[in-house]
Amino acid sequence: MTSFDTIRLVAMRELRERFRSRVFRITTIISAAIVAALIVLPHINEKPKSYDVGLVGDTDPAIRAAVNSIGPAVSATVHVHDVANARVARAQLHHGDLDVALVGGRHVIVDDPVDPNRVTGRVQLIAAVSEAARLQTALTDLGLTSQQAAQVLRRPPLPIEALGKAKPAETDQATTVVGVIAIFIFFQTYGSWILVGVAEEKSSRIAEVLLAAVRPRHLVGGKILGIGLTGLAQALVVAATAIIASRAVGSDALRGTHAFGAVAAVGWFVLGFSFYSWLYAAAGSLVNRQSDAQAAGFPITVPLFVGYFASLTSIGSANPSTLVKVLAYLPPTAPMCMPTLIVTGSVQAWQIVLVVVVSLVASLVMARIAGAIYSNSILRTGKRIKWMEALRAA
Amino acid sequence: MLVADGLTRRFGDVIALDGLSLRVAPGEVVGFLGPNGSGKTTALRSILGISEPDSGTVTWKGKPVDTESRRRFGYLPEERGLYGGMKLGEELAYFGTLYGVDHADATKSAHKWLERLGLGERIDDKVDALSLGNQQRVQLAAALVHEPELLVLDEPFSGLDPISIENVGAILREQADAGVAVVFSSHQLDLVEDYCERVTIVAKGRAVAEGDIDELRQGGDPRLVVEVAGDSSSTWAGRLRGVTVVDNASGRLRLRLGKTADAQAVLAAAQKRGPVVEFRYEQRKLSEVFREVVA
Repeated sequence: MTSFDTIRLVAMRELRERFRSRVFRITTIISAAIVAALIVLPHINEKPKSYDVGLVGDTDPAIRAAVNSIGPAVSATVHVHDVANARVARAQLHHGDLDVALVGGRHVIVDDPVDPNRVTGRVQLIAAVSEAARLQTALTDLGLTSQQAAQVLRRPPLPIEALGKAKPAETDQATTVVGVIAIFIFFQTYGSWILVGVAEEKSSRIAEVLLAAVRPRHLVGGKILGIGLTGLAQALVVAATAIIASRAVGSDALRGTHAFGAVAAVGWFVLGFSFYSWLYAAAGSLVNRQSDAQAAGFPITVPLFVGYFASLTSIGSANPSTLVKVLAYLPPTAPMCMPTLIVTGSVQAWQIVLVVVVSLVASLVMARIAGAIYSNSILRTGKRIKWMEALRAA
Repeated sequence: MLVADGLTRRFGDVIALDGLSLRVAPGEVVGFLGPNGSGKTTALRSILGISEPDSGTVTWKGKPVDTESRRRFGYLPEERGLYGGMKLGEELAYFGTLYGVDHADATKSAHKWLERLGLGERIDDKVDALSLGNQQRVQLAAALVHEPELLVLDEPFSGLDPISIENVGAILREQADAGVAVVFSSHQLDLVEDYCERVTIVAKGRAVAEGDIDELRQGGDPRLVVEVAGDSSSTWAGRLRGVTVVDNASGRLRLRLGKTADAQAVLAAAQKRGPVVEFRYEQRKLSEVFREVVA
């Protein structure tokens, strides 16, 4: 039997028992339900946006075409109706059958007065109809043919050169924010599973039974792998629920989360988890009672919080703070701070590769140190072992 | 044969093992005795590789013990540990696979041992649903599920009722008869006398006595059992030269005869007290050997 076989056996037990556990199933269902509710609830009473525009009398074909193509500009479906005369149009406006009427291409009628200070979909529609008719009419009044006027209006907007540094695109920011928050929550949640799981094996004395058959590093390695995979599976269930719910109701809640960002977030999670998981395992081996586990794990949460807040406060800025620039290169905070530097365009590819390599090396070093702490501490009963004492012994 | 030789282990200022040696041959049951804190558990952990000794060697079949040979060892720790939320059958099968047994064989073996220990019907129950005594039995099954060649048991009888003690004792004898080397620690010396051929007694981390139980009991000063009908006093015996009263059970005296003592003088003194209903030599009890060597 190889070391890998042993690690696999331990990991499979963790996976099997956690998947079976009622607590795991309930927390997964609740998490997925909360995410789905957050996405679906705002859309329950929402009707798709649709406007009706009435064209009265002779309307220049170019104006008609312009009105027909307003839809995307106002993010709605626009239905254009021919109305016999202004009196009928007024009646239809009054009954709500029309949202706006354009009379002879030169006169706009609405039912409720327009407040230009409130930018609603209806105000955007009325402004767009009015603008389409005004420009076309102005150009034909100046002597252009209807086709020439349409040609002028079809010209694309001028390119804009900005002298300042561009802020990151909102969609990329959204991806990074979601990723950093998810990484932070997952580190805490699954790290705490490892912490409590190891403390439980120590306090129930089962560790001694297992260590008669298994080397300590294989035991803790299998535990970390099993819990890591369980956590990843739970995270995927929640993410899949979010994507399905979002698609089902046409929500734009995940509009910013594009594929590359999601894969990168998984990569940062795995990189950071391989570092923190060993620390949590070492912390769990220091205590004799499960109730002391959280206190032993507290020092681990400090770099997590520092990285998290530093990252989120810099994410919308074109020039990230020096603190984030430093933290992005330190393995404990890199998984949260480096994505911020990437999205703000502050790093080159080689710098990202450097951080990944440094983080991998740090994880290996941490596995050695924390593995030694675990091996030294898991069978030591009595009072709680202090971190400094455990480090000296390692 | 398991040979632990010259094991030493310190925990700070505390010397847990001080050159301890222990031998266990296939087919024999060895009792590993010693007062609390004498280093028994540390020694057993060192044999199993759970705790590394500072110096000394442990060999099995003439070779240093390694991961592979440890898979042939079965262990019952003093402080029991099981996953409370797992089903008995699955938990035992899991332990079996950790020792390198194929999952199907481990499951079969788990069934067999649970049946043997009277828990066959509870194979799908969770460990937490069992009484402490039954959990003890499951713990023993966990040490046996991979059919080990060496059984290392730390206090296997503690917490068991008399019927379970007999059951566990019979299993240990069966294992030894099948060629398994068995070593167990215990404070219940009458059980050690019942089930072991040999003992190693440790004190302060060293082996202070080692050998066949009968030989150990035969050593030391001669012992006499004397009972005079209707006389519960022992003061008369205590006054005799070289005689020490070890025990007085309602007039049934157990006497230790020193070098200057004369058994015939004891008999004569007893006859003066009344009709002598019992007068015979006996071996020392193991508990007396124990008290003498650890003192």
